[in-house]
Amino acid sequence: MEKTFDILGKILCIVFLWQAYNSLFVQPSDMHQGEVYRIIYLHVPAAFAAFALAFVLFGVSIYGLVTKNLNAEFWGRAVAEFGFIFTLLTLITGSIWGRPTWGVWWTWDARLTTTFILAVLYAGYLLLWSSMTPGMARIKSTGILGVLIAVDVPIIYKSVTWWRTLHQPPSMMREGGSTMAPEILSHLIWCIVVLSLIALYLSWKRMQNLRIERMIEVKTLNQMRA
Amino acid sequence: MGMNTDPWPFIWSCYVIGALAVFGSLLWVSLHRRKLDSLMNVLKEEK
Repeated sequence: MEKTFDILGKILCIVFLWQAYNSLFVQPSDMHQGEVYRIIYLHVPAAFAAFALAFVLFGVSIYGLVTKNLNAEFWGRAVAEFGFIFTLLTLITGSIWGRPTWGVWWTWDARLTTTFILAVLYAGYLLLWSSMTPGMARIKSTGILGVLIAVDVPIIYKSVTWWRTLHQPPSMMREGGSTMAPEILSHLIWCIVVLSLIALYLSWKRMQNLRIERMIEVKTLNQMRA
Repeated sequence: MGMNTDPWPFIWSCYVIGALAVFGSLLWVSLHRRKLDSLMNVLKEEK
């Protein structure tokens, strides 16, 4: 089973390369933004991956708080690490897109600020995890923070409708249907699916590493005591 | 966007960073796993 997931994960990474080629050379130019719009095929999927991981972290945190299963610790750390990486990717690609489009690398508008807060929350989770010793206290503390992190995601999503922002309003999931051309929308959806699955795959691999690392620590301690 | 701004450096830099994020992460977890597996084997042999 593990080998199958591993192979599927690596295939997904190759699909990511094919999608990048498609995004750069095959997709048509945008009527308003020209070529620079191609960044959305990376920026939007990275954002969705970061949000998906926030919801996984929510589920893992609830699981840990309710069942007190120590595996929740490893999943929490792994998911938070890649949630942080994909949030940073969202912010960086968004900033690079913003420079030629808006003329600025950064602005404190609602969407950007709430996404920045998500990155800070993920970093805070990782710092909290690292500062505590393994056990129930860490599961409880990180579990509570993991639940709170997921609260930021709907705020990020609604920020462009609740406040006046520089960031454009939703063009995919909106009342009256998407404003995007069908070929652009379908390719974007596939990019979102693939990158989100890659994020889950990387989190799963990292979780396994953390679990093995703990086993090695325990075995080493037992051997030293013996 | 300004008429004279070439968008391609911006586009390429995003995709390079994205590829580094995905493949760099894959390389990191894979190499770390290899190191952990060899450490585990050493511990099993010592036992």
